[in-house]
Amino acid sequence: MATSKVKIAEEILRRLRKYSIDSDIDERELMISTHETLSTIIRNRYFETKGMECQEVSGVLYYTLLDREVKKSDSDTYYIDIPSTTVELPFGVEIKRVGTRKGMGFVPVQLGFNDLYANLESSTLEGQIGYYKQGNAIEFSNMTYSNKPDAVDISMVLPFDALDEDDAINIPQDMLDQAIDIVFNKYAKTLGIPPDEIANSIDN
Amino acid sequence: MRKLEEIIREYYIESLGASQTDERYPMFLQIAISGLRDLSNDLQQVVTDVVLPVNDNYTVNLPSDYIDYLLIGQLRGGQIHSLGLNNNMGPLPKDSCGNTIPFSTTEGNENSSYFLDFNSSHFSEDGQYVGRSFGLGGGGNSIGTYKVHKELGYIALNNFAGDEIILRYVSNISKVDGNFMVDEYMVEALKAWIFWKYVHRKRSYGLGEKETARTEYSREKRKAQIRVSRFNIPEFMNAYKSGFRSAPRM
Repeated sequence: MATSKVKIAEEILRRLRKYSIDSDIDERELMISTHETLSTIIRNRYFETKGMECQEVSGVLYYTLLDREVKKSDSDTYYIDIPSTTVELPFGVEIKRVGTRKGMGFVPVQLGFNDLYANLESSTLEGQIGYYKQGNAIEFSNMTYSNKPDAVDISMVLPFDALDEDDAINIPQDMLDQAIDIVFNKYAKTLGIPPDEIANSIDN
Repeated sequence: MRKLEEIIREYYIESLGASQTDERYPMFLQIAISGLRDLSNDLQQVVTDVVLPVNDNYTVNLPSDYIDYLLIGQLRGGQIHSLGLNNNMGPLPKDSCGNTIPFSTTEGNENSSYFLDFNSSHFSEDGQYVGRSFGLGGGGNSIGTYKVHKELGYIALNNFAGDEIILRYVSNISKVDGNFMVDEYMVEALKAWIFWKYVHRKRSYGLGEKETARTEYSREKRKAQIRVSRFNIPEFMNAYKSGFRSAPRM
């Protein structure tokens, strides 16, 4: 079911206010916390699926951000600004695709590729453009003035920072419930809300 | 022929079960290029014929993709006539500016051009060879001799009169439009190589798995070898009969 950042935050806030009406927790704070929690859940689930040999992130969690302007750095390399923080996953799979709208996407490479692969036959990536993350930018290898596009699209996992509060996002219901519970419990401690009593027949 | 990058993507799908390429792509590409070179050397050497100009100092520059030569000769009437190997030929001397200069003399160079001097005392007035060539060494070549100085990047020639030579050589693996191309027969062997090389130094894979990967590569390579070296009956008959020579009736 499609939801939005603000709807998730409101739901958590509603639950918190049942116990503490004076709660002064801001919705934006809850949105950030929800993003962090969802990132943890996605990362954990990615590793859980390793046992099933699929190691996939659900396609509904990927969002494509269109027309990111390609800029030129002082060192004559090309880059785009990373539009949002995302979940950090092995081998850079948190970014599904970087490339122009038509044709094949660019090839992910590791930071340091340009030095390690310098003068090797594989450095040309068989005529393809490579990309790697560095700081707040995605930098490109083998991109020159002649093959440089003006803008590229980027598909990444839950780019919360690049989504508006009301933008529809599609998070699997079980994942959403889990995230809401975790965020609620985190703030319940801060507000002094007593935890649910657990019936422990062994100790009693 | 298949593009190497297509084979890498197939490997991602078939062996890793992945739905996208990842940061390991350049590593797999590098492993694949090494594998392609290994397979090409053993199974299907890339043999190239080129006509190369002879420089003023009687050297010929080696092509950049040169690995080893099979034949060095001169084209005469559509046939390649081979030059003779002279291992005693040293690298060309250099002048004070560091430029290589041709050998100034043929002294001490034993070659059969000596025989072809019909005005010498070795030939009768009718041009018949009469011998008297004592102490002359064998070997040599009437067209000229060569010595490949691979480390210096040239072929040195001696007593060669032409402007160009034909070089038939084993070259580096072939590229088309900057992309490595793989023979269809070698595709599966190459995928097995990539997997083997990927796992064989990884601690997360057991010895059994690594050994299986190595065996799989050997098996695929053998299959490729059989397919590459396959030939048909007419080719066999032709090779078989090529040993026959007509002889005078005794």
